[in-house]
Amino acid sequence: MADVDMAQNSGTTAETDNDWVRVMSDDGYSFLVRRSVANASETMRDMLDTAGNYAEAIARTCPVSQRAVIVEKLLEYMSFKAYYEKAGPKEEVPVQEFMERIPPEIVLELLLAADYQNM
Amino acid sequence: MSLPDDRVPTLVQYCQRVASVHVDSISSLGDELRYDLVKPILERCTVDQLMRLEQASPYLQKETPEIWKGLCFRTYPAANDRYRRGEILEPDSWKEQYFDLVQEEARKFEAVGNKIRRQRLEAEERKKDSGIRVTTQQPTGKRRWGVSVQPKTLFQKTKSEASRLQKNMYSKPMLPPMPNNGKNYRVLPAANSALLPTSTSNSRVTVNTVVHSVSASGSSSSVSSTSKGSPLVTTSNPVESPRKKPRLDLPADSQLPKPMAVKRDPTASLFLPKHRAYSQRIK
Repeated sequence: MADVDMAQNSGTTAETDNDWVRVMSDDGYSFLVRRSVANASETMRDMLDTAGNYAEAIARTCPVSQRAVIVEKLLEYMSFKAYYEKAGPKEEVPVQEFMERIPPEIVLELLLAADYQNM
Repeated sequence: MSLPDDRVPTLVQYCQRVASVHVDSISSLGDELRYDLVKPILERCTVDQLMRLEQASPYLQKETPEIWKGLCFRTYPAANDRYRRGEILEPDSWKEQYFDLVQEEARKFEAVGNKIRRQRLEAEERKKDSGIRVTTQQPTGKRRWGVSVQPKTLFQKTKSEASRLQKNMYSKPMLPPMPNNGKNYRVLPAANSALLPTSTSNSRVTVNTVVHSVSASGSSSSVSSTSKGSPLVTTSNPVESPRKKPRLDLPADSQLPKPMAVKRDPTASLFLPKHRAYSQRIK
């Protein structure tokens, strides 16, 4: 219960800068990202939402059934999105730049994963 | 939250774009991707790419007719119009329809190509026909009034030759045609010769007509009455030569009777030159 309180505490405070979550790939790799980044994916946000009482939310770990390569790219996108959604209106979003960061070799897998993650 | 979501494209959209760009490198779309996920990719495929991806993932074939329909209309807009107007019914397979249209197009193209080729060949044929040809045939004689001349046998030739000789030998020899076509030739002197000397003067030549009368009686020296002593033909231009030959000798001989002087034999002047000899022309 104490763990849950702690988890709930961290979820409701504005200290999201220190609020890190773990994202795990199916081949054993772990990625640590800020919660704000994780929230870029609706699926992850719901999974990690403490109000839902999911096990993942308690553990603050979100498993993704994808290879590490894919998970890494997913998180990269989520960082990109989280940053520029908060950016001022005058700041230009380098849309094309991110496109170049997607290697064709993984694009179909990534498409599948992105669709699952609702992003 | 205050910013609209459309500033950053979704990862799905990003992936679709990248996949469309590299669609040649994609051997198969697999079997996990839903149709509506890959639809934007397929819509941007060429016919060959679409065929390949369909074969690799047969489950997509159920839903691709709409893509084939789009391909039909984009490639053959004329067919699109016909369909809209209801002339073509909805085919069972738009894919088949597409390939039917391709074949139809190829047939039309070939037909046009053949027509052009045929026309060109015909034009060349016509040119050849009107050109010069080497032949061993004898040329046929020129046809007059549409009657063609039949080649004569040797016997016929001999016969006609003989009859012609026969005709000519015993008949009056044919006179040669009159010089000057019979014009400008006076057998007798003109009746109103006294009125004649009308000098027509132009810029270059002054021609005074000289008239010599040759009278049958000739007893009196009527030389001076109707003729001038010497011909008065003056020219300022050496090129123009007088047309009338002066006959100085005649007045002198007018005293002598001339029994045949009235009628001149046309053949006598046959060999008279029309103009003066070159060496005699006035310089």
